[in-house]
Amino acid sequence: MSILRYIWHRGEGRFSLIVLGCWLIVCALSLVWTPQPLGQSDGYNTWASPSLAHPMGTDGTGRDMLSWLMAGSGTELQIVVATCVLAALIGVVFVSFSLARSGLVSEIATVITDTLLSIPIVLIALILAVPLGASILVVILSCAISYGLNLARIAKPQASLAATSRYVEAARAAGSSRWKALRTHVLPNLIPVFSVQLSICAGTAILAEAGLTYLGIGVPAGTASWGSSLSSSASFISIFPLTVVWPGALITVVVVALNLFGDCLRKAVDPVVNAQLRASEVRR
Amino acid sequence: MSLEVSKLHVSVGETPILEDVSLTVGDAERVGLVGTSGSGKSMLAMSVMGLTPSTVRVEGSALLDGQQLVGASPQTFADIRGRSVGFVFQDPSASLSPVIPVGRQIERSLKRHYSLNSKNRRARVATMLEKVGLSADLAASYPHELSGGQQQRVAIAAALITSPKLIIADESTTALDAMTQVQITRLLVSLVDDAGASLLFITHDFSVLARVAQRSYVLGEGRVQEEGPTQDLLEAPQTEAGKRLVLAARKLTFSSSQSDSERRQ
Repeated sequence: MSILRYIWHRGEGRFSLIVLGCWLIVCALSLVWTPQPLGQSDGYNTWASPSLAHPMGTDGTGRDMLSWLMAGSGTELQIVVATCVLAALIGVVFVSFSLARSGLVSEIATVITDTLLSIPIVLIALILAVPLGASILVVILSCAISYGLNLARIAKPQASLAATSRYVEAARAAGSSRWKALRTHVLPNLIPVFSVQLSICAGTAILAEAGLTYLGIGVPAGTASWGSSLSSSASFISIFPLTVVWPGALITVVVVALNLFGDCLRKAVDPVVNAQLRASEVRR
Repeated sequence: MSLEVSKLHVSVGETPILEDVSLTVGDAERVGLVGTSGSGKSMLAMSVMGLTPSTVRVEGSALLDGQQLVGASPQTFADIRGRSVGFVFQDPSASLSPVIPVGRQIERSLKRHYSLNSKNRRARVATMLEKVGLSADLAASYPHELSGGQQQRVAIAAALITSPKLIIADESTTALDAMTQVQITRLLVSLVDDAGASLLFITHDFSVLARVAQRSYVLGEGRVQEEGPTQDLLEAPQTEAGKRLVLAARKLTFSSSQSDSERRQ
């Protein structure tokens, strides 16, 4: 709670919490209610301007934009959560291998990380799309692989510094095994790096979903997502700008909120910066 | 608890760090190991306790109450470290993790070696903090909230919480000011004596050693150059390495007392 309180008391933190909170509420709401049924499309009412019946207008097939964006928020949440969890796992695994006692294992982990990092995310998605077809899984896996390796690369210097620190040596001198000492001392030191990188990863996963869906290898047709709403209307931006502005603005606001949240989280989990975290330790 | 090191060779690749080093720390004895920076003092302690990187080759013998430590398994070391042998490191600000409250760092050895519940562990930590002259409330503090002297007291509390029978203090007062050095050495000696433990006190400063060790070894260029009662080594060092260290200690003591008197004037 002290972490959330710290974030809430900062302007940018409060903004990010409000935006992310609204996102979660809309996600939950869209599971039980949307203004119009998702399957309903009105062929006589395409590209409609905002009205009482369609507060954000309709798209080229006459579907209610607000309902589809509400339903799309759930898809984005799935993508963001799954990508971040998988990327964190990949990051931790590769960082652990790069800290291995054996120089060879560490060297191999570093070479694999660097080699795979040179492959662009679109190419990874294209390769995955061959067996999987256009699906959410392609977006999640390609983002997780790419960002997870990037995370490992960025966290490695910090991890190496902590692994060779005097306090890890002190932990081993107190009887901790090498693995336990690394787990207890290196991982907490990586939390600030991970919190910033994963928030960036969450934001870019939403952008990547929009991009990959635009290329036809992301979210399949018929599944609501902000990327698919954007890509289906992108060619008509000069004629019906609102149909692009709504999903575009939504993606921008959520990505900015995620980045600000990550920045505040990094400060919040650092006991040197966050006095409330230190105070909560006193109450423990 | 006794430690008998004999004919210890330590090398990194082809470069020897320690050659033919032998020393003993008797039961409830306080022994000093003095030498200039880079003479291999810390490497000796690390090699004996299996804390060296895999690139370091250790040969010879190190018996802890008859148990061979050279070539012992990681499990053996993990069982000994923190329970039978406690370490106090040089720079407390570096040897305490910046992101973990000090109380949890002190209770680490207890958690590793004894099956006590968290309430009992916290009670032991509070008692230990009071023993080293700190308030029990400081258990919730992070290292950056403490002074250098307080951090070293925390490090001593962490090393002594399991009542180990051998304490290895590696340059444990080097990073502290003169006044705090005196307090910390007094504290360490009284705690070690109260516990009936043995102490291997590693330092490059003879003036500190005189307050701590009954017997000392002078290490130079990876070899034991001289050994004997600390007082004798201070008064009449026999070797060049010993003479240089004593001279430096006298100069330091003289210059500090001179600057004190200048300040008073």
